[in-house]
Amino acid sequence: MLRLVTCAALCGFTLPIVVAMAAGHMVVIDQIDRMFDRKAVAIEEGDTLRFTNRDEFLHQIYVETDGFSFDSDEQAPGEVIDVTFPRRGDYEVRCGIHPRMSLAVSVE
Amino acid sequence: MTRPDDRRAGALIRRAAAVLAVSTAWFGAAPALAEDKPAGTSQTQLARDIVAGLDKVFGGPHKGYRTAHSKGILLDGTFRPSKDAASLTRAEHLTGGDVDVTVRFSNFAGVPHVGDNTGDANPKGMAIKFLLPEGGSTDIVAHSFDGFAAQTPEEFRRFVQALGSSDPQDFADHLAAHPAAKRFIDAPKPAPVSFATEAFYGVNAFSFTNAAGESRFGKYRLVPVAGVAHLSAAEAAAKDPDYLSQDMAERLEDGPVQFRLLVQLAGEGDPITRAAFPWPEDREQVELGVLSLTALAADSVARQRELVFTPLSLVGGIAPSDDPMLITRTRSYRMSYSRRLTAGAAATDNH
Repeated sequence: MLRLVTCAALCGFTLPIVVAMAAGHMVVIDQIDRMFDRKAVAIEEGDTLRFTNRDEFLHQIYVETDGFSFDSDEQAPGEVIDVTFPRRGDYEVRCGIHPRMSLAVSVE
Repeated sequence: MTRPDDRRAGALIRRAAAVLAVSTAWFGAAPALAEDKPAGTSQTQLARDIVAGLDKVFGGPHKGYRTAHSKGILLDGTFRPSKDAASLTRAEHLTGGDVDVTVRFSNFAGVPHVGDNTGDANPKGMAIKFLLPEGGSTDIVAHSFDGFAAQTPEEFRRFVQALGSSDPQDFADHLAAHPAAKRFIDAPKPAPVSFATEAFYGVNAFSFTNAAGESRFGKYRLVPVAGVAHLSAAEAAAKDPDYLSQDMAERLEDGPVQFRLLVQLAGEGDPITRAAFPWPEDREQVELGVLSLTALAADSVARQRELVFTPLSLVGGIAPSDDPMLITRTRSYRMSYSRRLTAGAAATDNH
């Protein structure tokens, strides 16, 4: 986690909120125009999704699934949230502010 | 028309009123409650507790309905921005041409069939969804009380839990120790002649920023063009339990129902992050434009169920204040929304 934070600081990124420690690969998902930049994504166990708010208003992401759930703080414009998916399964990431925003996550 | 769940909620609210009478008499001697303490739980847990508390008060959850403000009507219309709006904000829906809107008026209680003419039905709610030209939407969520029953989310959780407590003394003690709750319960909340004759308030403050980058804090308010008009208790008692939807249908035959959308600007020292008490009435106001509601929505049951209005659904040029109630409200509405979608197929009536 320290490496991630240090990299973000050195690269001038907005400091990520690390929901879980990143161990595998990272896939960047933009939130833009009240949508995720894709409908679905397939990743491997332990991979991380990096959500970046490209809008000029708040987002907030959550997953409510038996066995794995998270609920972010409100995400300001430009703010980054990293979420690591520790277990195989199918999940839906949603925005707590914009109900039409949905991302299907398949973890192999 | 009254159904078992109506009677239960009605009884709870009547009990609250009775408790208030007792607590008022005891006010000087009532033991003060300890200050509300941070619960040490997440915002989501706080919202979950509030939803559960409201369920207990209103005999819910009621499948397919909102946790509070369950009974409502939906209208379609347009919003026309005023020429003054751009002085306050660069928000796209407030600075261009006409914008389509969907508006939901509602009764207070989390009881799907509550009579429009009962005490449980007040304060009323008004939620507006602006349908943005480029897609997406932005919302205003208001009610007919200028203020709120609690200063903080934690205090509101305690309010709801005390209201639903099996021991009436809990609520009496809460009122005695919390001026915001006492003001909310004490305030007259008469039934309106029509949803079109009620004023509504956005409760929490937002920061409005114009194209020059100048920002000011303000609160929304909606003023009925038809004028504010309420019923006496006797007049309300004589009304049909569904008189507000009937009135709206008749009114729309004569033309649109209109509201002026205003922002009351904060003055020096006005609290920005605590919204239980109103700002002084002499504060400057900016008129953002006029809502013209033209028709009751078709397929109202399904649309109401599938729509969620949240105060944090925003656009550039309008940002939230640091009032934590904005987060709590949004998360509570999200939970109610998720739940009613899951159970929505069971709802078949026309409220």
